[in-house]
Amino acid sequence: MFSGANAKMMLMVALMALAPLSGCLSILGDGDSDDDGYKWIDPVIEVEDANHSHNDLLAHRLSTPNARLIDYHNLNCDGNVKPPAEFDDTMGRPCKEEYKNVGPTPGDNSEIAIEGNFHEDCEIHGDGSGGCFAYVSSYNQFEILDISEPNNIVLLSTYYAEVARMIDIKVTPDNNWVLVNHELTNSELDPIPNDDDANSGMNRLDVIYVGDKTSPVKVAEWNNPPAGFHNQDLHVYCDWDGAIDPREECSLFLFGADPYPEMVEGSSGTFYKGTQVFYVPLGLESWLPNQNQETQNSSREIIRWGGYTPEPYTTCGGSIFNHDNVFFIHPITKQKLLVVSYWGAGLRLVDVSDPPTVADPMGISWPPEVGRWLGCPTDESGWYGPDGGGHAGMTAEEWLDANQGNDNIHYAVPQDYLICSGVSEMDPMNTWPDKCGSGPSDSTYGENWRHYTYIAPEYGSNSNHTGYIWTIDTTDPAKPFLVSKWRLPGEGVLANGSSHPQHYIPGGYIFSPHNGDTGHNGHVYWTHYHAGAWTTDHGHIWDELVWENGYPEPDRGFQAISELAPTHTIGYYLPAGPPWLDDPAEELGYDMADCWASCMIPFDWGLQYDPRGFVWISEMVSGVYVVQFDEDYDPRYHYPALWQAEASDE
Amino acid sequence: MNDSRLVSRLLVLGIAVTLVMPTALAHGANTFSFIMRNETVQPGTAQVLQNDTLILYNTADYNRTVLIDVNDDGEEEFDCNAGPSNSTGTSDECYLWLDPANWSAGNYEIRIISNGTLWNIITINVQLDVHTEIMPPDGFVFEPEPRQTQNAGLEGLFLSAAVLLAGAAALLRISRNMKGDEEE
Repeated sequence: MFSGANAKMMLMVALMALAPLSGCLSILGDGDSDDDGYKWIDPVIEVEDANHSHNDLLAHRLSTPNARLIDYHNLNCDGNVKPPAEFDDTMGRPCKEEYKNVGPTPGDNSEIAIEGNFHEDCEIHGDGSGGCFAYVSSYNQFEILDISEPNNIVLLSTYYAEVARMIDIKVTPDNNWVLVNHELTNSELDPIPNDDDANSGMNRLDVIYVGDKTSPVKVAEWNNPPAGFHNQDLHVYCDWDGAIDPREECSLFLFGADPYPEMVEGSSGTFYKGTQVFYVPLGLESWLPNQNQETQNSSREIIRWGGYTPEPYTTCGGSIFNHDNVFFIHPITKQKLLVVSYWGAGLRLVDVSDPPTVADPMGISWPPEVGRWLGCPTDESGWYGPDGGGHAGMTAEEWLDANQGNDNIHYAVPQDYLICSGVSEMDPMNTWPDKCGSGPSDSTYGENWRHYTYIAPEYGSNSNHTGYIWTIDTTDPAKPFLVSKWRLPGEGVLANGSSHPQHYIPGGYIFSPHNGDTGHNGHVYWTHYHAGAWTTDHGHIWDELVWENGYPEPDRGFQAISELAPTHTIGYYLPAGPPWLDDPAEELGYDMADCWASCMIPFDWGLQYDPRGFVWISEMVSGVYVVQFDEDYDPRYHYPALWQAEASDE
Repeated sequence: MNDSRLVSRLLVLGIAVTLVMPTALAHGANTFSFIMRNETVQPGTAQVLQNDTLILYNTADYNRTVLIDVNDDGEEEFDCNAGPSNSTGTSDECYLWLDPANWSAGNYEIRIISNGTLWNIITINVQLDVHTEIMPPDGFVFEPEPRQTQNAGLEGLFLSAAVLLAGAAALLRISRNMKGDEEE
């Protein structure tokens, strides 16, 4: 009766007619509306056709009603996307406030790091300390923003480097030192810019002094051929006996994820491991830029101090590749741990509490692994054996099957605090439910205070799935076990118009999970590239687990669980330019032709959770978005969106 | 080909190239491991790509031999001995690079000899190292070709209905938003 074209048009009409009536999931459960009449809109559309273009920015201006844009910055510093030619590329330049949210927009943003005295609302003290800042790595540059007022963020300065590509950025807790990588991967696809400043920077780690936020300056660099590091983290130890210089009160260690640890260096007979630990003699103080060249040169020494790669017998095979190392201090054991993402080898918990006083550059015995989680048994017996609780009972083939949402563990992030029934240790005690007793040390209820680590994969393409965010109970880091898993809600649509049980990734990483962060009460935030930033609630997992024998048996782990707990969707926000502009791509000069990634908006790389209740999202083309979910609102930190007030005034 | 058609094709080509262009996010070691345990091999089957490097680790405390007859001629072109488990060296590993010149797409068997007898077989499916990035669905053209007049009437009707529905939905949404704003 109808031709193919007509059938498509009918389908389009039907879809448009049904769209307002459709619903998939909501924070209220599987229903399709909440009390305000909001109908769930699934923002994930796989098939690009006459009805949908991934490049149609306005079609992606979507969010759940509990997500509010507080502020936005397109990271325009002074009207120039590069510094003047006479500037050396090892220095930054101050920015001007009047260029906020006017064109051009430099773009190519990746990770974001935030640091400051958030619990003091970023108050500046009499001695000049305090304040809160965000740092955004942006391929050839990074930006420093004053985020003390989330509804009035200010770009302070931009640091530019000729050599690409900065994709990760970390900052010390004192907000004085930034650590960036210059990584070379896919060199034939991603060439280093050639000009008079081009050098070996593609394999570098650089330290930038940012004590003066308007004038960042590079003070040290280290080379790590052939590719540098993909991600890095750092920690300052102030109780270590191995310092080379007795004047050193605190010692700096770096944790790098080497993308080509063994396959290249191994050919020379040297087998460094994927997770590499470095000691920086004399540490941060030696990097002060007012020191002479000789002193600075000596300060640039870096010593390989340890290394870790999963032993093959602790894996189920597959691609064993270190993507990321995140440092944290376990709230119960007080161990200093790395949560390490190792692709097919899953999550690894590595203990870096006590660096040896003698370097172990090959990582023969330091740092040790204390726990791991992957879906398949990795031992003959015990916690990781077939009858143990430290896996999900999968075969090796099942665990390594990306089409089922498994494998490819790319990013892991731990909670900073213990949580119990939706509260954390940071919440006032009078708000704790009875089942939380007097806290983690309560003899009866202490078991209800849990620590979780969240891990997720990344896929370039996946014809069946977008991947799970796995919740791993790491209350005892030596006995991790699975308690929940979550994927992007809703069903997918195949190219032929038929329904697919879940969303999938046609290519280009388009809806893959990427990087995440945790809130203090069980909320978790995760970017999903073109699917935007999602918030989920893991606070009640312990309450909602179904145990085989009717009571918790954490010592049996996964074996004692008859039904995993649900992870609840709180909402999503798709950054798609500031809503007060009708055509932000044109008005703000988004670079829609020469993107590092896919030139789609949104394409969210990273985010950070501000303990005051805000989410800082780094969108790859358009800039930084400050978003608040209603569930995170804290009246002590009342920062309403000023742009809405201004719009109302107008 | 006239100018507008050329521009149309170039636009389509440009968009398609943009979409199929590998992003700079890609990374990975391009290695795939197999663990030869005491009793089992993990995984027993795998899908790998040309250019991948396969690593077979022996975790037993005795030798194993890894054999592959690549071209199915009855002779093993790959013959590697993996010694007893050794965590400080590579004597317990066998490396195999799937050189595209030698490995075409298809299924292959990796035979593992232990104590002189065939102990296990791993089946691998080698796939071509090509990117399958995002592409428009079959038949879709980003800049539509000139329409066929015979369908114009019905298509126009549906299109008009769609536009009307979209407009109505937008108005409804705006109305609700305004109402919501007023209530706030």
